[in-house]
Amino acid sequence: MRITYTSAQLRKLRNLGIRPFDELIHDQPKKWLIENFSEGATTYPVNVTRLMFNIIWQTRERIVAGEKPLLRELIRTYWYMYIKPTLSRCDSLSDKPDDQYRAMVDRFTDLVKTHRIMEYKDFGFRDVSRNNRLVGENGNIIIFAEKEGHMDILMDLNNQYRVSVIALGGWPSVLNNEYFTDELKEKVHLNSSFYLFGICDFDPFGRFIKNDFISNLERYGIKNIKVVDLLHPDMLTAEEVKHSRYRLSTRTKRNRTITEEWFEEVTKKNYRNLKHLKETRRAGKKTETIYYGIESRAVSTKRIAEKLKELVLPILGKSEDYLREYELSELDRALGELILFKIRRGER
Amino acid sequence: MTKQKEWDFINFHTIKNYVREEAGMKSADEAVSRLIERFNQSIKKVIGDAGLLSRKARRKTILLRDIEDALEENLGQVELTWEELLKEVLKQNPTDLGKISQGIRTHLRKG
Repeated sequence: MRITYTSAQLRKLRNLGIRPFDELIHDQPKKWLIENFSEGATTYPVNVTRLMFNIIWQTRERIVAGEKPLLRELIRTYWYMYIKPTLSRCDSLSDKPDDQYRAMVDRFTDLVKTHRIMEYKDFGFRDVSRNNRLVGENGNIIIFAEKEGHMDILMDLNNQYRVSVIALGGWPSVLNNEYFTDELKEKVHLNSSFYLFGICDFDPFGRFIKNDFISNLERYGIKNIKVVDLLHPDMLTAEEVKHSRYRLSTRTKRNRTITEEWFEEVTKKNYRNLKHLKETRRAGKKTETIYYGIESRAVSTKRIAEKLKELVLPILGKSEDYLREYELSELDRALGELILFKIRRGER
Repeated sequence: MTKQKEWDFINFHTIKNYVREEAGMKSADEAVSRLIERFNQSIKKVIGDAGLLSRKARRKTILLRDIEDALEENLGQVELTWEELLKEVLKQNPTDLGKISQGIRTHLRKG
């Protein structure tokens, strides 16, 4: 089968240094690899990024053209089968091969998420995290957790409300999120209203994870998303916050910037107990600002379940028309509260 | 040296006709030219600023939000009447309506 590309796709491929080869790149000897991939090389005899892009793209082309069956392997196996031996053959394997494995995963992410010129399912990769997600009948309601340790409560919630659940296990995998969205498509139209309830640490990293997950869902066509954070300082009492908080690292300039940006962002949410997560101390002549985060396990499962019951039940199994009516009535209540607030403050 | 191209975004005769038909008046050519000159400058400025915003976001396409931000910066915020505001609210989908309620409640928490 001949594959045709649009001019925009061809431009992207050219910009990434990807070009067609008659030879199977991963089978070629050292001399050939260096001849074809030495341009732009710095640390190693070949330009590792360009070589990875080309091997990945050639594998994909062969599968899409029907010259090769779907891989049905883990992405880690792909590394061992195609990339690692090729890098080794041309003396370009790092002393820390795991770093290069992660670089290869990043190249996949570049092609799938940043440049949008392929999808993981083109390769037929098996997903090692498939047991960390379940799609329920009420697919548009998604409860996600940062940690795999929350999978038990997620499974209970899936049983109880037939909602979709996913434990991200640290940084969300684009591969896992692609397959999750494919499974969602079987239950619910992606144009529907999606309600996301997040159980992430209340710290900068938790915010990155949440935002990355949302961005992945958007990448795969889910646009109408409302996110509710289930883990924030007002889910605890002031005493509980003080007891469970932990100090965030601000030792490096980068850490400090990330933490300050995060705190500025969460300050906009006006949480009552946020004041307990920032302290200013005098250290000699200088003043030092200390920031704290809250671990997602600091809020009991029972409390999270109660909050979810309150938030999920009104929207469970409802049509788009009903959701619209529901949100309008919620808006009506919020506006009523706003009017009272303004009257009390004597605003005109 | 090549002369820089002058762009005319607004049609002279459209304005002349509008004044005649809608206001029932005549208009001096120099008045219309001045109006056009001023608006041409503003349009160029708004597009230039929107371009800067999109480049800052590492994009090569000017999006609606770039134009809206540049318009607000250059021509000021559009004040909606309550009827216009209501029309805008009713256009929103369920999740965006929910975000408005969330925003109001966040504001109320400020106390």
